[in-house]
Amino acid sequence: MEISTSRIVSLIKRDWILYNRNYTLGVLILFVLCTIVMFLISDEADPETPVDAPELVFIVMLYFVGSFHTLRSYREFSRHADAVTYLGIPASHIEKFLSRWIITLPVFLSVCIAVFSISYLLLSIIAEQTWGVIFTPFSSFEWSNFFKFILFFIFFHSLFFLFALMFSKNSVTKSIIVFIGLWFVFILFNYYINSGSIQADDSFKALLMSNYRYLMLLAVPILWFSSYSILKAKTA
Amino acid sequence: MEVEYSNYILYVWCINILIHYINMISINNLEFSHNRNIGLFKDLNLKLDKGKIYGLLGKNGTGKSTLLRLICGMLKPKTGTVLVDDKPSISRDVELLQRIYLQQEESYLPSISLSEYVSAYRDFYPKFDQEKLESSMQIFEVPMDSKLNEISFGQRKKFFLSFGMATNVDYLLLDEPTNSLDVPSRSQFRKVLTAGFHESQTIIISTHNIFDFGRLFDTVIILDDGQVVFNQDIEAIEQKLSFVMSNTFGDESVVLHKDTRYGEHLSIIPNSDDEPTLVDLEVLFKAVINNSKAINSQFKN
Repeated sequence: MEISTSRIVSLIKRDWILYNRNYTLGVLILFVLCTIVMFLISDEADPETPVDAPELVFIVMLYFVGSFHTLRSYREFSRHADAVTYLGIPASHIEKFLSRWIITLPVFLSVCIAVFSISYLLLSIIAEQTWGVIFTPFSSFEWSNFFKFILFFIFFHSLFFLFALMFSKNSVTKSIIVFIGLWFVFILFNYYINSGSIQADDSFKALLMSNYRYLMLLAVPILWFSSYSILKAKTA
Repeated sequence: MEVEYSNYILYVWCINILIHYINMISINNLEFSHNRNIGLFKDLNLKLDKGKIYGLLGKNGTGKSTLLRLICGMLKPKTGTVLVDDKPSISRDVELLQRIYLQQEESYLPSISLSEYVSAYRDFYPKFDQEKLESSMQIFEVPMDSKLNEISFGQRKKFFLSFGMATNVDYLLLDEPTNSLDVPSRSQFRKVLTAGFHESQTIIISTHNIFDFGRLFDTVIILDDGQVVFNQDIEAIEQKLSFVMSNTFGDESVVLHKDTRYGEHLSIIPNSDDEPTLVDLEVLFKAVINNSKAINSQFKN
Protein backbone atom coordinates (compact mmCIF):
# COMPACT_ATOMS: atom_id res chain seq x y z
CA MET A 1 0.00 0.00 0.00
CA GLU A 2 1.66 3.23 -1.18
CA ILE A 3 1.09 6.21 1.10
CA SER A 4 3.01 9.44 0.74
CA THR A 5 2.14 12.45 2.87
CA SER A 6 3.42 14.83 0.20
CA ARG A 7 1.11 13.31 -2.43
CA ILE A 8 -1.87 13.52 -0.05
CA VAL A 9 -0.99 17.19 0.50
CA SER A 10 -0.71 17.66 -3.29
CA LEU A 11 -4.16 16.08 -3.75
CA ILE A 12 -5.65 18.41 -1.12
CA LYS A 13 -3.86 21.35 -2.74
CA ARG A 14 -5.31 20.31 -6.12
CA ASP A 15 -8.81 20.20 -4.63
CA TRP A 16 -8.32 23.62 -3.07
CA ILE A 17 -7.16 25.14 -6.38
CA LEU A 18 -10.07 23.58 -8.29
CA TYR A 19 -12.83 24.25 -5.79
CA ASN A 20 -11.63 27.12 -3.56
CA ARG A 21 -14.31 29.48 -4.87
CA ASN A 22 -17.06 26.98 -3.98
CA TYR A 23 -15.51 26.28 -0.58
CA THR A 24 -15.05 29.96 0.30
CA LEU A 25 -18.56 30.86 -0.83
CA GLY A 26 -19.97 27.88 1.10
CA VAL A 27 -18.22 28.88 4.32
CA LEU A 28 -19.37 32.51 3.93
CA ILE A 29 -23.01 31.48 3.34
CA LEU A 30 -22.79 29.08 6.29
CA PHE A 31 -21.38 31.83 8.50
CA VAL A 32 -24.03 34.42 7.52
CA LEU A 33 -26.93 31.93 7.83
CA CYS A 34 -25.65 30.62 11.16
CA THR A 35 -25.37 34.16 12.58
CA ILE A 36 -28.82 35.21 11.26
CA VAL A 37 -30.56 32.07 12.56
CA MET A 38 -28.94 32.38 15.99
CA PHE A 39 -29.88 36.05 16.12
CA LEU A 40 -33.51 35.22 15.25
CA ILE A 41 -33.83 32.52 17.91
CA SER A 42 -31.95 34.45 20.58
CA ASP A 43 -33.71 35.94 23.57
CA GLU A 44 -32.54 39.39 24.64
CA ALA A 45 -34.43 39.11 27.93
CA ASP A 46 -32.21 36.26 29.08
CA PRO A 47 -28.54 37.20 28.69
CA GLU A 48 -27.45 34.13 30.65
CA THR A 49 -28.93 31.68 28.13
CA PRO A 50 -29.26 33.84 25.02
CA VAL A 51 -29.93 31.14 22.40
CA ASP A 52 -32.73 28.70 23.10
CA ALA A 53 -31.36 25.80 21.12
CA PRO A 54 -27.83 26.43 19.85
CA GLU A 55 -27.37 22.68 19.44
CA LEU A 56 -30.08 22.71 16.80
CA VAL A 57 -28.19 25.25 14.70
CA PHE A 58 -25.00 23.25 15.11
CA ILE A 59 -26.75 19.97 14.20
CA VAL A 60 -28.39 21.42 11.08
CA MET A 61 -25.10 22.90 9.98
CA LEU A 62 -23.09 19.79 10.72
CA TYR A 63 -25.46 17.12 9.43
CA PHE A 64 -27.17 18.77 6.47
CA VAL A 65 -24.27 20.75 5.08
CA GLY A 66 -21.78 18.03 6.05
CA SER A 67 -23.81 15.29 4.34
CA PHE A 68 -24.22 17.39 1.19
CA HIS A 69 -20.49 18.23 1.18
CA THR A 70 -19.61 14.53 1.62
CA LEU A 71 -22.04 13.43 -1.09
CA ARG A 72 -20.36 15.83 -3.53
CA SER A 73 -16.87 14.63 -2.65
CA TYR A 74 -16.53 12.41 -5.73
CA ARG A 75 -18.33 14.69 -8.17
CA GLU A 76 -15.70 13.81 -10.83
CA PHE A 77 -17.32 10.44 -11.39
CA SER A 78 -20.48 12.02 -12.78
CA ARG A 79 -18.61 13.14 -15.92
CA HIS A 80 -16.47 10.74 -17.94
CA ALA A 81 -13.64 13.14 -18.85
CA ASP A 82 -13.36 14.36 -15.24
CA ALA A 83 -13.30 10.80 -13.92
CA VAL A 84 -10.54 9.77 -16.33
CA THR A 85 -8.49 12.87 -15.40
CA TYR A 86 -8.92 12.17 -11.67
CA LEU A 87 -8.08 8.49 -11.96
CA GLY A 88 -5.04 9.33 -14.10
CA ILE A 89 -3.45 11.44 -11.35
CA PRO A 90 -0.27 9.69 -10.22
CA ALA A 91 -1.36 8.88 -6.69
CA SER A 92 -2.42 5.60 -5.11
CA HIS A 93 -6.03 4.65 -4.37
CA ILE A 94 -5.46 5.00 -0.65
CA GLU A 95 -3.94 8.48 -1.10
CA LYS A 96 -6.93 9.58 -3.19
CA PHE A 97 -9.26 8.10 -0.60
CA LEU A 98 -7.47 9.71 2.34
CA SER A 99 -7.28 13.16 0.74
CA ARG A 100 -11.07 13.28 0.30
CA TRP A 101 -11.61 11.73 3.72
CA ILE A 102 -9.52 14.51 5.32
CA ILE A 103 -11.41 17.23 3.42
CA THR A 104 -14.86 15.88 4.27
CA LEU A 105 -14.28 14.86 7.88
CA PRO A 106 -11.56 16.55 9.98
CA VAL A 107 -11.32 19.67 7.82
CA PHE A 108 -15.10 20.10 7.51
CA LEU A 109 -15.61 19.40 11.21
CA SER A 110 -12.96 22.00 12.16
CA VAL A 111 -14.45 24.58 9.78
CA CYS A 112 -17.95 23.89 11.11
CA ILE A 113 -16.88 24.29 14.74
CA ALA A 114 -14.95 27.47 13.86
CA VAL A 115 -17.94 28.97 11.97
CA PHE A 116 -20.32 28.12 14.81
CA SER A 117 -17.98 29.54 17.47
CA ILE A 118 -17.31 32.76 15.56
CA SER A 119 -21.05 33.18 14.84
CA TYR A 120 -21.85 32.72 18.53
CA LEU A 121 -19.22 35.30 19.51
CA LEU A 122 -20.43 37.67 16.79
CA LEU A 123 -23.99 37.26 18.07
CA SER A 124 -22.83 38.59 21.46
CA ILE A 125 -21.45 41.71 19.76
CA ILE A 126 -24.59 42.19 17.63
CA ALA A 127 -26.82 41.68 20.68
CA GLU A 128 -24.87 44.28 22.62
CA GLN A 129 -25.15 46.76 19.76
CA THR A 130 -28.85 46.03 19.10
CA TRP A 131 -30.37 45.41 22.51
CA GLY A 132 -27.66 46.70 24.80
CA VAL A 133 -27.37 43.36 26.61
CA ILE A 134 -24.19 41.39 27.04
CA PHE A 135 -24.72 37.72 26.25
CA THR A 136 -22.60 35.00 27.74
CA PRO A 137 -21.46 32.95 24.74
CA PHE A 138 -21.88 29.18 24.87
CA SER A 139 -23.62 29.40 28.24
CA SER A 140 -26.66 27.50 26.97
CA PHE A 141 -24.72 25.03 24.89
CA GLU A 142 -25.04 21.46 26.14
CA TRP A 143 -21.42 20.36 25.99
CA SER A 144 -22.36 16.85 27.07
CA ASN A 145 -24.17 16.47 23.76
CA PHE A 146 -21.28 17.81 21.71
CA PHE A 147 -19.37 14.52 21.45
CA LYS A 148 -22.60 12.65 20.75
CA PHE A 149 -23.22 14.98 17.78
CA ILE A 150 -19.70 14.38 16.54
CA LEU A 151 -20.11 10.61 16.85
CA PHE A 152 -23.35 10.69 14.88
CA PHE A 153 -21.72 12.91 12.27
CA ILE A 154 -18.84 10.45 11.85
CA PHE A 155 -21.41 7.69 11.31
CA PHE A 156 -23.34 9.77 8.76
CA HIS A 157 -20.08 10.73 7.08
CA SER A 158 -19.07 7.10 6.59
CA LEU A 159 -22.51 6.30 5.16
CA PHE A 160 -22.64 9.30 2.79
CA PHE A 161 -19.01 8.81 1.77
CA LEU A 162 -20.03 5.33 0.62
CA PHE A 163 -23.08 6.72 -1.20
CA ALA A 164 -20.90 9.33 -2.95
CA LEU A 165 -18.86 6.52 -4.48
CA MET A 166 -21.78 4.15 -5.07
CA PHE A 167 -23.85 6.66 -7.01
CA SER A 168 -21.76 8.34 -9.70
CA LYS A 169 -24.65 10.34 -11.15
CA ASN A 170 -27.32 12.26 -9.17
CA SER A 171 -25.60 11.15 -5.98
CA VAL A 172 -27.53 13.60 -3.77
CA THR A 173 -31.03 12.55 -4.94
CA LYS A 174 -30.24 8.82 -4.95
CA SER A 175 -28.59 8.99 -1.54
CA ILE A 176 -31.54 10.84 0.02
CA ILE A 177 -33.94 8.16 -1.32
CA VAL A 178 -31.75 5.30 -0.02
CA PHE A 179 -31.23 7.09 3.30
CA ILE A 180 -34.99 7.58 3.77
CA GLY A 181 -35.47 3.88 2.91
CA LEU A 182 -32.86 2.82 5.47
CA TRP A 183 -34.36 5.14 8.06
CA PHE A 184 -37.80 3.62 7.43
CA VAL A 185 -36.38 0.09 7.88
CA PHE A 186 -34.70 1.19 11.11
CA ILE A 187 -37.96 2.68 12.46
CA LEU A 188 -39.89 -0.48 11.54
CA PHE A 189 -37.26 -2.66 13.20
CA ASN A 190 -37.40 -0.49 16.30
CA TYR A 191 -41.21 -0.63 16.31
CA TYR A 192 -41.36 -4.42 15.99
CA ILE A 193 -38.71 -4.90 18.69
CA ASN A 194 -40.64 -2.65 21.09
CA SER A 195 -44.05 -4.07 20.20
CA GLY A 196 -42.81 -7.61 20.69
CA SER A 197 -43.53 -8.74 17.12
CA ILE A 198 -39.88 -9.67 16.80
CA GLN A 199 -38.92 -12.01 19.62
CA ALA A 200 -36.12 -10.45 21.59
CA ASP A 201 -35.59 -10.83 25.29
CA ASP A 202 -35.27 -7.80 27.50
CA SER A 203 -31.57 -8.28 28.09
CA PHE A 204 -30.97 -8.17 24.29
CA LYS A 205 -33.06 -4.99 23.98
CA ALA A 206 -31.15 -3.44 26.87
CA LEU A 207 -27.86 -4.46 25.32
CA LEU A 208 -28.90 -2.97 22.00
CA MET A 209 -30.07 0.30 23.54
CA SER A 210 -27.06 0.79 25.78
CA ASN A 211 -24.50 -0.10 23.13
CA TYR A 212 -25.91 1.57 20.00
CA ARG A 213 -23.05 4.06 20.00
CA TYR A 214 -20.51 1.26 19.93
CA LEU A 215 -22.46 -0.46 17.17
CA MET A 216 -22.32 2.74 15.15
CA LEU A 217 -18.61 3.04 15.80
CA LEU A 218 -18.18 -0.54 14.64
CA ALA A 219 -20.05 0.20 11.42
CA VAL A 220 -17.92 3.27 10.61
CA PRO A 221 -14.64 1.52 9.66
CA ILE A 222 -16.61 -1.12 7.73
CA LEU A 223 -18.33 1.63 5.70
CA TRP A 224 -15.02 3.45 5.11
CA PHE A 225 -13.37 0.26 3.97
CA SER A 226 -16.31 -0.41 1.61
CA SER A 227 -15.89 3.11 0.17
CA TYR A 228 -12.18 2.48 -0.38
CA SER A 229 -12.95 -0.83 -2.12
CA ILE A 230 -15.44 0.88 -4.46
CA LEU A 231 -12.91 3.61 -5.31
CA LYS A 232 -10.32 0.93 -6.09
CA ALA A 233 -12.78 -1.01 -8.23
CA LYS A 234 -13.70 2.15 -10.19
CA THR A 235 -10.18 2.42 -11.60
CA ALA A 236 -10.61 -0.66 -13.79
CA MET B 1 43.77 2.99 -15.23
CA GLU B 2 42.98 1.41 -18.59
CA VAL B 3 41.24 -1.49 -16.87
CA GLU B 4 39.10 0.94 -14.87
CA TYR B 5 38.13 2.83 -18.01
CA SER B 6 37.14 -0.36 -19.87
CA ASN B 7 35.10 -1.43 -16.83
CA TYR B 8 33.35 1.91 -16.95
CA ILE B 9 32.60 1.51 -20.68
CA LEU B 10 31.25 -2.00 -20.01
CA TYR B 11 29.13 -0.66 -17.16
CA VAL B 12 27.65 2.12 -19.33
CA TRP B 13 27.02 -0.37 -22.15
CA CYS B 14 25.24 -2.77 -19.77
CA ILE B 15 23.10 0.04 -18.36
CA ASN B 16 22.16 1.17 -21.87
CA ILE B 17 21.22 -2.37 -22.88
CA LEU B 18 19.20 -2.75 -19.68
CA ILE B 19 17.37 0.55 -20.20
CA HIS B 20 16.72 -0.37 -23.82
CA TYR B 21 15.05 -3.63 -22.87
CA ILE B 22 13.29 -2.45 -19.74
CA ASN B 23 11.84 0.80 -21.08
CA MET B 24 9.15 -0.44 -23.33
CA ILE B 25 5.51 -1.28 -23.74
CA SER B 26 4.62 -4.86 -24.43
CA ILE B 27 1.09 -5.93 -25.34
CA ASN B 28 0.56 -9.68 -25.45
CA ASN B 29 -2.49 -11.62 -26.70
CA LEU B 30 -4.75 -8.74 -25.81
CA GLU B 31 -8.49 -9.23 -25.97
CA PHE B 32 -10.80 -6.38 -25.07
CA SER B 33 -14.40 -5.41 -25.68
CA HIS B 34 -16.56 -2.51 -24.53
CA ASN B 35 -19.60 -4.76 -24.55
CA ARG B 36 -19.99 -8.52 -24.33
CA ASN B 37 -21.02 -9.18 -27.92
CA ILE B 38 -18.59 -7.14 -29.99
CA GLY B 39 -14.89 -7.74 -29.39
CA LEU B 40 -12.67 -4.76 -30.17
CA PHE B 41 -9.24 -6.42 -29.95
CA LYS B 42 -8.64 -10.07 -30.73
CA ASP B 43 -5.25 -11.51 -29.81
CA LEU B 44 -3.46 -8.19 -30.35
CA ASN B 45 0.32 -8.20 -29.94
CA LEU B 46 2.54 -5.13 -30.03
CA LYS B 47 5.92 -4.01 -28.72
CA LEU B 48 6.90 -0.35 -28.45
CA ASP B 49 10.50 0.69 -27.79
CA LYS B 50 11.86 3.76 -26.12
CA GLY B 51 13.22 6.74 -28.03
CA LYS B 52 10.65 6.61 -30.80
CA ILE B 53 7.61 8.55 -31.98
CA TYR B 54 4.87 6.14 -33.01
CA GLY B 55 1.98 7.03 -35.28
CA LEU B 56 -1.11 5.03 -34.39
CA LEU B 57 -3.49 5.01 -37.34
CA GLY B 58 -6.82 3.34 -37.95
CA LYS B 59 -10.36 3.91 -39.14
CA ASN B 60 -13.01 5.29 -36.79
CA GLY B 61 -13.92 2.78 -34.09
CA THR B 62 -10.85 0.58 -34.52
CA GLY B 63 -9.86 1.24 -30.93
CA LYS B 64 -6.99 3.75 -31.12
CA SER B 65 -8.16 5.69 -28.04
CA THR B 66 -9.06 2.46 -26.26
CA LEU B 67 -5.55 1.12 -26.86
CA LEU B 68 -4.05 4.28 -25.33
CA ARG B 69 -6.31 3.88 -22.28
CA LEU B 70 -5.31 0.23 -21.95
CA ILE B 71 -1.65 1.27 -21.98
CA CYS B 72 -2.42 3.79 -19.18
CA GLY B 73 -4.17 1.11 -17.16
CA MET B 74 -7.48 2.94 -17.28
CA LEU B 75 -9.13 -0.08 -18.86
CA LYS B 76 -8.73 -3.71 -17.94
CA PRO B 77 -7.94 -6.30 -20.65
CA LYS B 78 -10.40 -9.19 -20.94
CA THR B 79 -7.47 -11.52 -21.48
CA GLY B 80 -3.80 -10.97 -22.22
CA THR B 81 -1.45 -8.41 -20.72
CA VAL B 82 -0.41 -4.81 -21.24
CA LEU B 83 3.03 -4.40 -19.68
CA VAL B 84 4.77 -1.07 -19.26
CA ASP B 85 8.41 -1.66 -18.30
CA ASP B 86 7.46 -5.21 -17.31
CA LYS B 87 4.70 -4.06 -14.97
CA PRO B 88 1.03 -4.66 -15.80
CA SER B 89 -0.40 -1.22 -16.56
CA ILE B 90 -3.63 -2.18 -14.78
CA SER B 91 -1.69 -2.25 -11.48
CA ARG B 92 -1.70 1.56 -11.78
CA ASP B 93 1.07 1.89 -9.26
CA VAL B 94 2.17 5.44 -8.58
CA GLU B 95 5.67 5.06 -9.94
CA LEU B 96 4.19 3.90 -13.25
CA LEU B 97 1.53 6.63 -13.38
CA GLN B 98 4.25 9.25 -12.81
CA ARG B 99 5.86 8.10 -16.06
CA ILE B 100 2.77 8.10 -18.28
CA TYR B 101 0.78 11.09 -19.50
CA LEU B 102 -2.31 10.73 -21.66
CA GLN B 103 -3.59 13.77 -23.50
CA GLN B 104 -7.17 12.92 -24.25
CA GLU B 105 -9.37 14.28 -26.96
CA GLU B 106 -11.92 15.37 -24.39
CA SER B 107 -10.47 16.86 -21.22
CA TYR B 108 -11.65 17.99 -17.82
CA LEU B 109 -12.12 21.76 -17.85
CA PRO B 110 -12.39 23.42 -14.47
CA SER B 111 -13.02 27.16 -14.32
CA ILE B 112 -9.43 28.09 -13.42
CA SER B 113 -6.54 29.78 -15.19
CA LEU B 114 -3.90 27.77 -17.03
CA SER B 115 -1.28 28.67 -14.42
CA GLU B 116 -3.62 27.49 -11.64
CA TYR B 117 -4.11 24.22 -13.51
CA VAL B 118 -0.33 23.80 -13.68
CA SER B 119 -0.05 24.47 -9.91
CA ALA B 120 -2.75 21.88 -9.25
CA TYR B 121 -1.13 19.07 -11.24
CA ARG B 122 2.62 19.65 -11.61
CA ASP B 123 3.49 18.24 -8.15
CA PHE B 124 2.42 14.79 -9.29
CA TYR B 125 5.15 14.63 -11.94
CA PRO B 126 8.63 14.52 -10.38
CA LYS B 127 10.42 15.58 -13.59
CA PHE B 128 8.09 18.49 -14.37
CA ASP B 129 9.91 21.30 -16.20
CA GLN B 130 8.28 24.73 -15.80
CA GLU B 131 10.66 26.36 -18.32
CA LYS B 132 9.76 23.80 -20.96
CA LEU B 133 6.08 24.54 -20.38
CA GLU B 134 6.60 28.29 -20.67
CA SER B 135 8.67 28.02 -23.85
CA SER B 136 6.03 25.74 -25.46
CA MET B 137 3.27 28.15 -24.48
CA GLN B 138 5.28 31.01 -25.99
CA ILE B 139 5.59 29.10 -29.27
CA PHE B 140 1.84 28.46 -29.21
CA GLU B 141 1.12 32.08 -28.17
CA VAL B 142 -1.40 31.12 -25.49
CA PRO B 143 -1.31 33.38 -22.37
CA MET B 144 -1.04 31.49 -19.07
CA ASP B 145 -3.60 33.72 -17.34
CA SER B 146 -6.38 32.58 -19.71
CA LYS B 147 -9.23 30.57 -18.20
CA LEU B 148 -9.17 26.92 -19.20
CA ASN B 149 -12.92 26.74 -19.87
CA GLU B 150 -12.95 30.02 -21.81
CA ILE B 151 -10.23 29.40 -24.39
CA SER B 152 -10.91 27.71 -27.73
CA PHE B 153 -10.73 23.95 -28.27
CA GLY B 154 -7.53 24.38 -30.29
CA GLN B 155 -5.88 26.48 -27.56
CA ARG B 156 -6.76 23.82 -25.00
CA LYS B 157 -5.08 21.22 -27.20
CA LYS B 158 -1.97 23.40 -27.29
CA PHE B 159 -2.00 23.86 -23.53
CA PHE B 160 -2.44 20.16 -22.74
CA LEU B 161 0.30 19.24 -25.22
CA SER B 162 2.64 21.79 -23.59
CA PHE B 163 1.76 20.45 -20.14
CA GLY B 164 2.29 16.85 -21.32
CA MET B 165 5.70 17.71 -22.79
CA ALA B 166 6.68 19.56 -19.58
CA THR B 167 5.91 16.50 -17.43
CA ASN B 168 8.96 14.83 -19.04
CA VAL B 169 7.30 11.45 -18.65
CA ASP B 170 8.74 8.37 -20.35
CA TYR B 171 5.48 7.63 -22.15
CA LEU B 172 3.55 10.47 -23.70
CA LEU B 173 0.29 9.35 -25.30
CA LEU B 174 -1.48 11.88 -27.51
CA ASP B 175 -5.02 11.19 -28.67
CA GLU B 176 -5.88 13.21 -31.80
CA PRO B 177 -3.60 16.10 -30.76
CA THR B 178 -4.01 18.17 -33.92
CA ASN B 179 -7.81 18.10 -34.17
CA SER B 180 -9.15 21.68 -34.30
CA LEU B 181 -5.69 23.22 -34.79
CA ASP B 182 -5.37 25.84 -37.51
CA VAL B 183 -2.63 25.58 -40.15
CA PRO B 184 0.05 27.70 -38.34
CA SER B 185 -0.68 25.87 -35.09
CA ARG B 186 0.01 22.52 -36.72
CA SER B 187 3.54 23.54 -37.59
CA GLN B 188 3.92 25.01 -34.08
CA PHE B 189 2.76 21.63 -32.77
CA ARG B 190 5.50 19.81 -34.72
CA LYS B 191 8.06 22.35 -33.45
CA VAL B 192 7.04 21.86 -29.81
CA LEU B 193 6.99 18.10 -30.14
CA THR B 194 10.41 17.81 -31.75
CA ALA B 195 11.96 20.37 -29.38
CA GLY B 196 10.61 18.63 -26.28
CA PHE B 197 11.21 15.03 -27.29
CA HIS B 198 14.09 13.25 -25.57
CA GLU B 199 15.78 9.93 -26.30
CA SER B 200 14.46 8.08 -23.26
CA GLN B 201 10.90 8.98 -24.20
CA THR B 202 8.26 7.13 -26.20
CA ILE B 203 5.53 9.17 -27.83
CA ILE B 204 2.43 7.51 -29.28
CA ILE B 205 0.24 9.73 -31.44
CA SER B 206 -3.20 8.48 -32.37
CA THR B 207 -4.50 10.48 -35.31
CA HIS B 208 -6.60 10.76 -38.43
CA ASN B 209 -4.75 13.85 -39.61
CA ILE B 210 -1.89 12.03 -41.30
CA PHE B 211 -0.69 15.12 -43.18
CA ASP B 212 0.10 16.98 -39.94
CA PHE B 213 2.92 14.68 -39.03
CA GLY B 214 4.98 14.36 -42.18
CA ARG B 215 8.26 12.72 -41.22
CA LEU B 216 7.65 13.11 -37.50
CA PHE B 217 6.80 9.44 -36.99
CA ASP B 218 9.61 6.93 -36.56
CA THR B 219 7.20 4.02 -36.80
CA VAL B 220 3.73 3.64 -38.27
CA ILE B 221 1.23 1.28 -36.64
CA ILE B 222 -2.09 0.62 -38.34
CA LEU B 223 -5.00 -1.00 -36.53
CA ASP B 224 -7.81 -2.76 -38.33
CA ASP B 225 -10.38 -5.36 -37.36
CA GLY B 226 -9.03 -5.75 -33.83
CA GLN B 227 -5.46 -6.44 -34.95
CA VAL B 228 -2.22 -4.62 -35.69
CA VAL B 229 -2.19 -5.02 -39.46
CA PHE B 230 0.94 -2.96 -40.09
CA ASN B 231 3.90 -2.02 -37.88
CA GLN B 232 6.99 -0.73 -39.63
CA ASP B 233 9.67 1.92 -39.19
CA ILE B 234 9.54 4.81 -41.64
CA GLU B 235 13.10 3.97 -42.75
CA ALA B 236 12.03 0.42 -43.65
CA ILE B 237 9.00 1.73 -45.54
CA GLU B 238 11.23 4.14 -47.48
CA GLN B 239 13.57 1.29 -48.36
CA LYS B 240 10.93 -1.26 -49.33
CA LEU B 241 8.18 0.78 -50.99
CA SER B 242 8.01 3.41 -53.68
CA PHE B 243 5.20 5.93 -53.86
CA VAL B 244 4.97 6.97 -57.51
CA MET B 245 2.72 8.70 -60.00
CA SER B 246 1.03 5.94 -62.06
CA ASN B 247 2.16 7.30 -65.42
CA THR B 248 5.84 7.14 -64.49
CA PHE B 249 6.20 3.36 -64.80
CA GLY B 250 5.05 0.73 -67.25
CA ASP B 251 4.72 -2.62 -65.53
CA GLU B 252 1.25 -2.83 -63.92
CA SER B 253 1.92 -6.30 -62.46
CA VAL B 254 4.23 -4.92 -59.77
CA VAL B 255 1.65 -2.44 -58.45
CA LEU B 256 0.75 -3.18 -54.81
CA HIS B 257 -1.90 -0.46 -54.54
CA LYS B 258 -3.45 2.17 -56.79
CA ASP B 259 -5.06 5.35 -55.61
CA THR B 260 -6.44 8.60 -57.00
CA ARG B 261 -5.99 12.02 -55.40
CA TYR B 262 -7.22 15.23 -57.03
CA GLY B 263 -7.32 13.43 -60.38
CA GLU B 264 -3.72 12.22 -60.04
CA HIS B 265 -3.05 8.48 -60.01
CA LEU B 266 -0.73 7.35 -57.24
CA SER B 267 0.64 3.86 -56.83
CA ILE B 268 2.71 1.88 -54.41
CA ILE B 269 5.28 -0.43 -55.94
CA PRO B 270 8.20 -2.36 -54.44
CA ASN B 271 11.29 -0.19 -54.18
CA SER B 272 13.76 -1.79 -56.50
CA ASP B 273 16.40 0.95 -56.10
CA ASP B 274 18.55 1.54 -53.05
CA GLU B 275 17.30 5.12 -52.95
CA PRO B 276 14.72 5.72 -50.20
CA THR B 277 11.49 7.34 -51.40
CA LEU B 278 9.23 9.84 -49.70
CA VAL B 279 6.42 8.05 -47.84
CA ASP B 280 2.86 9.09 -48.56
CA LEU B 281 1.11 8.07 -45.34
CA GLU B 282 -2.39 8.52 -46.72
CA VAL B 283 -1.79 6.19 -49.64
CA LEU B 284 0.06 3.75 -47.40
CA PHE B 285 -2.86 3.73 -44.94
CA LYS B 286 -5.40 3.02 -47.69
CA ALA B 287 -3.17 0.31 -49.15
CA VAL B 288 -2.82 -1.45 -45.80
CA ILE B 289 -6.54 -1.28 -45.10
CA ASN B 290 -7.34 -2.66 -48.60
CA ASN B 291 -4.69 -5.36 -48.72
CA SER B 292 -2.34 -5.57 -45.78
CA LYS B 293 -0.92 -8.94 -46.93
CA ALA B 294 0.43 -7.48 -50.17
CA ILE B 295 2.08 -4.56 -48.37
CA ASN B 296 3.45 -6.65 -45.49
CA SER B 297 4.89 -9.22 -47.88
CA GLN B 298 7.43 -6.59 -48.94
CA PHE B 299 8.89 -6.51 -45.43
CA LYS B 300 9.44 -10.26 -45.04
CA ASN B 301 13.13 -10.25 -45.98
